[in-house]
Amino acid sequence: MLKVENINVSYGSVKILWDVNFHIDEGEIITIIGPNGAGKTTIVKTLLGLIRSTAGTIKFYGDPIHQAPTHQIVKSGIALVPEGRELFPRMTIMENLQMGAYTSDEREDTLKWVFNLFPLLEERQKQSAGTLSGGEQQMLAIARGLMSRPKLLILDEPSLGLAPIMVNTVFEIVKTLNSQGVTVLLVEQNIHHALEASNRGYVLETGRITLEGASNELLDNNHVKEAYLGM
Amino acid sequence: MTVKELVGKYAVSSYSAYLLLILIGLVLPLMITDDFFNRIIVLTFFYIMFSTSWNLLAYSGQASLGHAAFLGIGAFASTILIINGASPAVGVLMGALAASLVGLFLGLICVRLKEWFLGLVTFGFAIIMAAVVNESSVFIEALNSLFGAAGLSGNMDPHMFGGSLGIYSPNIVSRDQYYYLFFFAMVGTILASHLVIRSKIGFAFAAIRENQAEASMMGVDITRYKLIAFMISTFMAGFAGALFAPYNYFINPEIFSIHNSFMPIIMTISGGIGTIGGPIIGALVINLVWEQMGLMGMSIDRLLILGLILVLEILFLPKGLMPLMKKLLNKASGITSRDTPL
Repeated sequence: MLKVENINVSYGSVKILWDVNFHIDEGEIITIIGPNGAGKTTIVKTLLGLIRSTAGTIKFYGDPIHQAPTHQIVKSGIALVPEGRELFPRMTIMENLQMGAYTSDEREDTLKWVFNLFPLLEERQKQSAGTLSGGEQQMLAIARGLMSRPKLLILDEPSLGLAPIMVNTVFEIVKTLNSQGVTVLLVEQNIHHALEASNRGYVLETGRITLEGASNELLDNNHVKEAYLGM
Repeated sequence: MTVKELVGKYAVSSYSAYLLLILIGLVLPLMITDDFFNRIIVLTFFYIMFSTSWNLLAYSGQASLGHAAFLGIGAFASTILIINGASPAVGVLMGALAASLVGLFLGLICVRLKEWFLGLVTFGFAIIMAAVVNESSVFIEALNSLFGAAGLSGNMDPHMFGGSLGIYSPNIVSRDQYYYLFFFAMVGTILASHLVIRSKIGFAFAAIRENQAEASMMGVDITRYKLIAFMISTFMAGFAGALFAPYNYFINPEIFSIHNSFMPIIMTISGGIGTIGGPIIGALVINLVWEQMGLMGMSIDRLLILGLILVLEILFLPKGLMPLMKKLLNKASGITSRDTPL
């Protein structure tokens, strides 16, 4: 479904990503894990066309998208739930959701589906997004991402700054979505949770993919254990 | 039915408020027969159009500090065309289109700029326009040779609109006809602004203003919508300028002045930026203050006072008079409503 080949990205003269390769198949939950500053968010921004790669290709269903403008990439079926849940805080929940459906034509059905997943949002649809708690904002951010009916949903650090119980809820939702046919790319620092929720994982360190494999194998990997899980 | 209930039932609904205002606007000339008053009201209509234009661009997150440029382009372009034989309706339309085309061009430069950089470019552009028209007789001569006319500095025919727009009795342009011309132009501008803001386009404008990166991630084509905002806004400014020129009998490069660029900003902020009613109330109040200061014998020093008003407003009334009035109305009717910024 998504194939990233030899992507290189630089901010000015500072190189961030070195020959990054990964792929996502339909129906999978894939995770990219790694420490702060490894370049995880840079990968996400490159996928969405917010940053341009200096070399390499990104193909979505076989079509190259690494030179397409962001709005066209979104239209082709990729949605991003950004790090830090960048909502439109002064707009209502409903307006945020409508905004998410900007490229989509089937708003009514999608809205039903999303409200079914997040009943709380239906109750509070007239409330400003800025007045929600952190966990609720994350729910709204995910819901807004779903409003464009994406084939691939990218979640950038969805557990960031959430209470442990909310972290569990978020990962449960990711699994539920996946069971309903949404392919998910999970970019996380919460490595244990991310690997448990996903099928396959890639470890990104200082801009390079250093490890890849099935998530349960990565959980058992000695390097991952020592470096990230403190075991 | 008590007064309270009445206010609650009718006045709070903004549609009925606007209908009431339109009715008042329609019958006002029957009551006001004084030329001076009439002129102040027509100028208020003009400033409402101009401020609405500025407000629409600001609604998309782009604050122009040189909106007078488009006012002037509309005025000059339409005047050049009309004194060279174009019908007033065509001239006004082409003037507005000319402003809109230049707006598109400037928008292309501004699309990648944010905040003060955008402000500086628009600010500088108005100064360039003033310099081009002011300093360069070459410009005027080139235009003259193109159209074969005798220049723009002379007075224009005040009866320009006589009959030619089709809605006036032939060859008599009375005070009231100009009044209605501006009145309907203003209503049209406000209605257009309302329709744009309520449409999907307006939704994109708001999203870009609130969070540009996010908006693009929602699939909004940032460049396209920023340019659309520029084109609609500058069309409106050009339209206002094109109507102002014949009403004012003549135009000169003064129309590009900083004073004209800042007027719609002060007015819109006074009324309430990002709302339909904001530019209306702001233009009304500020223009009345301006004229009152004029009656008191002040001239250019009025700008000092306006500057002071602007500073005080930004400090103490950043959302303008509009939310304040709504609050008072709701209080009178006993309704507690959510404070809506959009």
